[in-house]
Amino acid sequence: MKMTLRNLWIPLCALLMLNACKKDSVLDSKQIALNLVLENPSGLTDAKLSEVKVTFKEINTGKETLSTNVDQQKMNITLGEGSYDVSLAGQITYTEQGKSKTKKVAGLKQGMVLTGAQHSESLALFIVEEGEGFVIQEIFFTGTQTPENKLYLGDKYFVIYNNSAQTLYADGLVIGQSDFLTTQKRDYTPNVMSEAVAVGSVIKVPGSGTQYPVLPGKSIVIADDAINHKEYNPVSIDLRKADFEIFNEDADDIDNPQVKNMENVYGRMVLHNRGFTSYVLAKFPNGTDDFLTHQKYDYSYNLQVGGVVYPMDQEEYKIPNSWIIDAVNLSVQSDFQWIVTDPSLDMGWTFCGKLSADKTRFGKSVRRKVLSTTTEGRVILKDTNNSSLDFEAEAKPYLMQ
Amino acid sequence: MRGSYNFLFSLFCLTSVTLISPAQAQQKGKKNNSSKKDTVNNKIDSLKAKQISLDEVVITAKESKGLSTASIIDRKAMQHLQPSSFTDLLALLPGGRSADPNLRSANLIHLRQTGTPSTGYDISSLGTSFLIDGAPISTRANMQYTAGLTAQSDRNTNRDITAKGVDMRTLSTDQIERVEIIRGIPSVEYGDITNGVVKIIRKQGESGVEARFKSDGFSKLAYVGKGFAFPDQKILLNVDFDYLDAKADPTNRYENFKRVNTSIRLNKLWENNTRDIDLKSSLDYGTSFDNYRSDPDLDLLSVDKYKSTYNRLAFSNNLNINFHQLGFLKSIVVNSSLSMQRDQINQTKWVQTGAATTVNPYTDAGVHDIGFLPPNYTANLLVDGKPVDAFLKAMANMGFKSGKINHAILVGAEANYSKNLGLGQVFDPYLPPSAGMSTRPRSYRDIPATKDLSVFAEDRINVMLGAHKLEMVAGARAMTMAGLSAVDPRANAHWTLPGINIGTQQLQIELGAGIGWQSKFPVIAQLYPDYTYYDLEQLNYYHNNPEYRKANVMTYKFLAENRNLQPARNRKWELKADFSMNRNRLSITYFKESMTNAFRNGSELKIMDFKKYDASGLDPDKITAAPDIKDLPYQDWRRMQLVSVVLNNSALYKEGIEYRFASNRVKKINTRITIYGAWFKTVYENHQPVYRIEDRVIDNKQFMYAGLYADDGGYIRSQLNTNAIIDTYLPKVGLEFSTAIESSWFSSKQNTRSTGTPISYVGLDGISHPYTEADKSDKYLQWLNTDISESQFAKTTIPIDVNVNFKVVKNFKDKIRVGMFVNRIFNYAPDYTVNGYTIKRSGLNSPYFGMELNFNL
Repeated sequence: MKMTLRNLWIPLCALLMLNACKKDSVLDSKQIALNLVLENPSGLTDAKLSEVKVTFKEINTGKETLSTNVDQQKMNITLGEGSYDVSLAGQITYTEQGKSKTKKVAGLKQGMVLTGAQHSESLALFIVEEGEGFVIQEIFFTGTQTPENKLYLGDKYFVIYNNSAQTLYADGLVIGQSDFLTTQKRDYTPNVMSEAVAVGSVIKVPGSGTQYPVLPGKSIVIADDAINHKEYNPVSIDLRKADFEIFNEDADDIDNPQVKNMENVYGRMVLHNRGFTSYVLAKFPNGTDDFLTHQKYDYSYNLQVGGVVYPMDQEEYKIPNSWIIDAVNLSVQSDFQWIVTDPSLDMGWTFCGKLSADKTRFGKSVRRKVLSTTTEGRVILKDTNNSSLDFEAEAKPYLMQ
Repeated sequence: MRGSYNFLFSLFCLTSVTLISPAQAQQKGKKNNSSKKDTVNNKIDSLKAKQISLDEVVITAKESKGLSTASIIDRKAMQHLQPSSFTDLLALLPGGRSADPNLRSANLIHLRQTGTPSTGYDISSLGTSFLIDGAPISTRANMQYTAGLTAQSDRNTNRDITAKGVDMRTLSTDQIERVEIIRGIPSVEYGDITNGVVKIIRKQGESGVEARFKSDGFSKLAYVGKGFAFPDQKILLNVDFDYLDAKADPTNRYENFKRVNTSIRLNKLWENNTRDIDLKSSLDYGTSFDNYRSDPDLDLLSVDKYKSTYNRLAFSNNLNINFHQLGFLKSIVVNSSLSMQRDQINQTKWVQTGAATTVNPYTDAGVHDIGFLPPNYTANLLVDGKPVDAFLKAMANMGFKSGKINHAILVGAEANYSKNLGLGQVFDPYLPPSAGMSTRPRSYRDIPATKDLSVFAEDRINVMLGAHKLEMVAGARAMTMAGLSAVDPRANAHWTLPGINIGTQQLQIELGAGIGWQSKFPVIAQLYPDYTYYDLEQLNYYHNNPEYRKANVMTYKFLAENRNLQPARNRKWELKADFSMNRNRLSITYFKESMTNAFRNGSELKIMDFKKYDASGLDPDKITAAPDIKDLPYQDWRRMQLVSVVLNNSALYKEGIEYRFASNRVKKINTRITIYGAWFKTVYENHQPVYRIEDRVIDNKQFMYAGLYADDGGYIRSQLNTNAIIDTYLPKVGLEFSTAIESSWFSSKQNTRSTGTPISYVGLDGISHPYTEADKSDKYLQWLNTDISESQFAKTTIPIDVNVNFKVVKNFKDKIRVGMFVNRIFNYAPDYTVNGYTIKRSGLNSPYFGMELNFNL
């Protein structure tokens, strides 16, 4: 029984080699025949689609396939195996009270999985109601970075703009921050996204109804803390001129007496500084009490952490889609998974920074693009309910001098 | 990083050199074949001797033959295991599994337990006593927590051992001769425990210079020790030194852990005809450092630093007087130790306020006008702890015979003193370590010392009934500390059946049973908690003109002391069976433990009154001075808060079967198979009703109702595992190697039933109202009700997971040992599905490997 260590090293090394030589299976690119059925918005008579353009974006590779080939409300196309975001843009012509009308139409389906040989899918279309009332003009959610590379957070703000030709009143306008993250797709049950947006915090403009007029083409600024932040961070913003500020009582927050406070309808509004949440602008038709009493949203989901699945129950509020005036989805390229509003509210998303916790995002905001200027000089902002197109991403904040 | 590689490289070179040289030596040897026959014979003799001794070599934990269920790990097993710290030895216990050393957080012991307990269940580690040569490592006065910095990002969170027990990272293994881990019911000699006793016996006696060097991906370890003997003076002297330097991970040089342990041990014997006196004295010094500094590439200022140091100096004496005369008194044992620690956390943080933030430096309750923090500043936190622990234990062993029964009686007393002389939590209250924190500086010197006293007695009987042998021990321990007291009865029995002849072999059957109670006193941090402060904002007038700014708070100060706190008490019972035949041995233990009053941080409901001043009447553009609250109208306001308090509310139930089979070492191939493992089921629960407050703002107000819930819920965890170790010794070539197949057959988790609907609720009026069906649709009260979905109570089972580890050691003439190990050389862990989710496990396990070199010169 003679055996030296050297005899042993060889099998030992061989073992190590074996371990290293595990191969991952190679993906075969199969082709699938997709039959996409386009469903017109309900309640329209003699509806006809035209100028339809459908984009199929493969989520993993980012590869986009375009098609305009619609026949009898159907599109037949052959695509490679994968997961797709399908978006549609076009025109719809229909008759209303004897008159023919043409409007923009859109549709979005997220995360359509194509496997097998054939696949059928339907795509619900909706009419794009171009915004004419209040819109979210700007969200400065990233905060700033101090000269020492530390986060500075109190200088965030919203700008709400009157995009109509009439004077509107800001009294009772609410801003809700989505409870779900655009970077975390989960099966929330019950799924109410087609009817409402789940919100984790809601703030409201005070007033009796006619206290805070906003002229056509004018805006209001709602600041986190309406103070001169340059006192605390030289590269920050002076927000003393804000119209409203968010003041969290009982939370060591400060209150500038010269600026009106927003009402905290629900939760504490802390803007997600990486931009993973979405925001909605709404008005409660039956008041705050009605909202607080009847719109509680209890849901459950599975949380997956480190190879373990935890069933979770959570409670928040939801704002019905019909109460919502405007919505903006925010995300980042590297982590985007889904939009957290119904596509009829917003079928796109905008961003500051391309990565999660992107250092370049600080001091940047998202700003709605200008569509046109009227002869009287009133600026009309672009609102096609698609934030990808309507917003300028990584813009210079309007209030930053 | 580079240093670690250099070290590995040098070790590899050394390994290669030592591997090649014997081959050359052999060639030389062949030429001198005609050498003396005597040497050859001598060699054969020594090989035979080795063969016999090999039967005794066990590289796993042995099951104790004593009355208490215990695992014994000796030097040989430790040498083969190649550990970095004491933590690694626990892989040898039933239910244990080898794991990569984690030296960036405190390593706590959880005997006979499965699952990762949350903070409410630290009793397992707190209730396990570590004794080094009979003297305990006391953690009673440890308070190295960082007040106000409880965030997950805080560096100290994972390293804090306040009320958690011994951090096993600080214990090195090289000075140890033998470890006995009592998992079952210990003798009444051991107190202030709930779960177990770890008895560490250190090397004693003459030896050559022993040295060990180990390196793996994270750490470097070095040890040197020597034993001296002075036979004329009957003195033995041992000196040891060891050093460990570990990084958080191989690519991170900004976070590391260092440890130094050194010890001088003296053993003096006085012998005469009537008695022997054996005195063992030791002087030990141990230190460890946890360091963190921020990466200068990420943090331009490089201000953030964390350093936690631990220094312990201990002087222990162990006096043993053995009487030779066959009288009633057999021996007297006196153990004493005095240890002094100097533990410090130095934390520096660059604090950037998120926006204008108030700061309240006052420590008295009442109304205060307070100021604002500067925009940014460097904060320093010092946590200075100087625990002083003294221990004295005296025991007398007596014996007599009545009829057929032999009695061995043990009586004794033990006293412990603990006091912390440290400066405590030290920081500038005007520049606190965290903006918005409400904790205030605190001195540990003002906290009273704790003194405990225990007496114990037990009778051990030994009787032969024909061919049957019965051994029983029964005793009790009474303990008192700070007005608390406990009496712990304990009993163990062991019955050896007559041998059964099977062929030429004899089967030996032994049965055992035991029951016992164990109690653990609360530690100083639990007995004397710090004040909890609440600063309720009454006015926060942040005028654009800094001159006119004003903040006012109402400070509340609660001493969250629980005067009804009781010692935690664990009841254990167990049944054992042991079968042995021809050096093959199978041991099986069934145990059940239940503890219903373990410590947990619970809460008490407090209602606080304050005023909200209304400054809206002032015209901010016309004022000429900051507003004074005396001039302002106000509204009376109330707020409720749950204040943290230590309660006896955690329940911990443990059940399981531990097994171990060790074969005889098969001749010729010198191979032994050891199979050990356990089935464990652990239930963690909080039985008592709990108050919960929803931390939400609804309709411009902080939520102001507290719900009382019947059950806080709990967790059920279970696991079944088997480790099979095949070890082979080839003494001719000085080679030993082992393959360990570690299988976790399953592990499962489940939540215990709980309800989301409160029994009653309390509003700001402080009055309790029953919670009715109608309340479920009330604007506010609906928030107290949660519909817990059924899936919360479903059981999740994680399927099989197998690791294969390999270790090899080459021995050169018992002078040099070169070892190498690879853990997880193979891993089999199939993917599995939970609630429709596929959990991927394949390819996630990378091997952990290292090398070591030992000298015995």
